[in-house]
Amino acid sequence: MKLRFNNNFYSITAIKKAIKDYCGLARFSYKKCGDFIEVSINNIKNKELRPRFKQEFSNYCLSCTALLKE
Amino acid sequence: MKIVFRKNLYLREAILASACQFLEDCYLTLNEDKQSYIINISGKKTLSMKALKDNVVKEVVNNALRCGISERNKEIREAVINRALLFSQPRKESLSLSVEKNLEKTAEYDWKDDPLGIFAPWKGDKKKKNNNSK
Repeated sequence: MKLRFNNNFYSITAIKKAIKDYCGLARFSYKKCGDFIEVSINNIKNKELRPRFKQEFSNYCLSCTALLKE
Repeated sequence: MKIVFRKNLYLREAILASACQFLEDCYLTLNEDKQSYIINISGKKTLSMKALKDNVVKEVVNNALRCGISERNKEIREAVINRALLFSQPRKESLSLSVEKNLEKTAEYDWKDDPLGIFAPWKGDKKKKNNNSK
């Protein structure tokens, strides 16, 4: 599962923080691809979380970005 | 559902600020192309997507206005805060000068001079006065 976050909206620090907070739930890796930060998610441990894990994670990244900007 | 905002009309901060207010109601991702900002929304609760879209657009417009006003007033706010901070501090130079002057004055006096006549025994004076009157 891959997620692409636009560099101009999402900060790399926020994404790192989100990964750190979610690292107990799945395996994450990220890399910069031009204007985007690409996050790949594997091995989601909880089956119930799988259908909305991607969306929940992107929401959390957004809230982290807003928090860090403040 | 995609909501598109033109870059020349809306600030990025306004989009981000308003998106953050809907994190509990829906799933949001933010993106942009050359000419516009794009908000992708997918529903989380039973709220209808149309109502959600309307609310997001309202919030973005509201935040854009607020950002515009705060951008215009930025210099005034900075000036007011600078002035308030500047005058709230004690004037160290003038204070130290007045203290130094007072210290110099007191250094000139000697306690033995007694210019106010505090050390003179008042009982003796009273006796002398009584003797003179007799």
